Amino acid sequence: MITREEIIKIYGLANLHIADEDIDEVREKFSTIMDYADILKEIDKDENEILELVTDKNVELREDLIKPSVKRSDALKNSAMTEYGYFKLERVVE
Amino acid sequence: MGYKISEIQGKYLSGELRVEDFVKSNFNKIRENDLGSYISLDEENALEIARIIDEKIANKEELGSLFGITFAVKDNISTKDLRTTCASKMLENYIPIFDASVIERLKAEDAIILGKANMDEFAMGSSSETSYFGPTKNPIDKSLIPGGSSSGSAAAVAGDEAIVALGTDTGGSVRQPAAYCNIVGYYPSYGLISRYGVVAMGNTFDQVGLLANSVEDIVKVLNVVGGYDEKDPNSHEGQVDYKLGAYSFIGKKIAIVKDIESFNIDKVVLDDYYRALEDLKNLGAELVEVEIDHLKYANMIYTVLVSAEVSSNLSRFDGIRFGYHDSNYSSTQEMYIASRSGGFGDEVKRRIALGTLLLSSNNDQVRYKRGLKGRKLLRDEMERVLNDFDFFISPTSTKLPNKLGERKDDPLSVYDSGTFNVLANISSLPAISLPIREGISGSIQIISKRFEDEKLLDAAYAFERRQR
Repeated sequence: MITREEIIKIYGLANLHIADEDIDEVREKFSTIMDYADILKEIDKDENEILELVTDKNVELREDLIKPSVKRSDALKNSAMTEYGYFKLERVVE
Repeated sequence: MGYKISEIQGKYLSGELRVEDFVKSNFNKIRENDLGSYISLDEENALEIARIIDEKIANKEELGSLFGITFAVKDNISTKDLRTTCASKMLENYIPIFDASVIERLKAEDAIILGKANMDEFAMGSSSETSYFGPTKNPIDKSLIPGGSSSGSAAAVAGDEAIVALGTDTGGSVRQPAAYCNIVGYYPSYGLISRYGVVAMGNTFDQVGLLANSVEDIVKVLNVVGGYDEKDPNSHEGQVDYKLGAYSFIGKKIAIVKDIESFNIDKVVLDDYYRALEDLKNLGAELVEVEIDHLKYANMIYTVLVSAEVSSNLSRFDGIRFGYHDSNYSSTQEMYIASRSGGFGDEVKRRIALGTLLLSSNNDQVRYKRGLKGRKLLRDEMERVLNDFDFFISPTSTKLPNKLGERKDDPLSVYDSGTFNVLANISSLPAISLPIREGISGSIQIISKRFEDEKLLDAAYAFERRQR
């Protein structure tokens, strides 16, 4: 069973809050899934290769050329706060 | 029996129907049905485009191939100046500054986008019940779920609220709602339709899929939205210009699932499936039961890999440049946590956390790597089967739609998008779901080799036109 500490650590890594009263429920759910995921141990042999993505070509890096990007006003359009043509936050913190 | 592209366009050209009137009737239907199939409507703009097309028709000007065809677009596909929420509070006020490539292509062919279709939040779910904007109802029986995550897309087409819909499919999210709403749903070969401008969930599984009342309409739309796009690095070279009418099932060998009754399938779904198999035999196909050895791992391979991709893809939402922002913080991490925790729904947060757990290094990502090994084995096995057979056929979903609000809290069933559906996504193979009879009933899914989409669609067309 996954520990409470592990759940808290994972949510922290994911930049998510978890309420104290929800931890046990999540622990249980994740443990069930992790146990069930152990079915994959049966195929975990050294000779078996991995497959991340089926693709028909090697993705190459494009040339690093400077070209026009989105307009500044467009880039800022969906930000909660802007100031003098920049993104703005309520306060600067560490 | 739902709208068809050729019928509607025929009426436009004969003067029997004006585009503006048809678009108005779609919006009236949306309000009258009240299914919750759309999150945002683009009524004024759609009517304006309709009037322009009416004028083009009157002046006998050149028309795009989809002139006057109305679309519902899933709300995770970027539409310029039209709110795109992913059914999440996180993007409640997000207005894209660009069109997805598929949208650009639709607009260039005089299609009309009516609005943005409801869905499960960030496409995580199979019922629409995780939508921040409330669920969608099944147009055949409003007490039932429409399936998901492309819930509104399926409901809009089945409810005569659009002629065609765009959805996205990561593990059955187009085919399962198509089956639940009894329409046609198509998941293309990975790379056939551009993903540029589509909000990523599990990016090696996600594809834009199409939902319509007929295979013919799917192909008409695919011929517009499919084909190479330089903006999508995984886009397949070549153009799409498919024709229908050449395929015959006579003498074709088709693989079907061995021991289908061991899969805990609803009786109605199973009976409909047997009916479809009889029809295939009558069409001249030879059906051979084939055991897929790695099928039992499919759901877990899917759960592990997609959760990992979800946690990575959704890390971009930080509440600064766009999206929900919570101003209550005293450190940078607190700002991220407050914004992400306030913006994402519970299911999304759980999946991000599960993916983070799978990718965290303290167990050397052992489960994730096992998932990748499973993917290779299953993909290779499906390739071998499809070298010997034309298609692999199964039921689309193993269940009929359940009642709205009856969502199970079983942690495994939440991730179970359908064993037969995820086969296609894991293996990057194209698949189509076809209705078998009227009403709430089972559908069949046909899977073919990668990039044999034309043959797949043509066989689906032959099945659809079968004599009963």
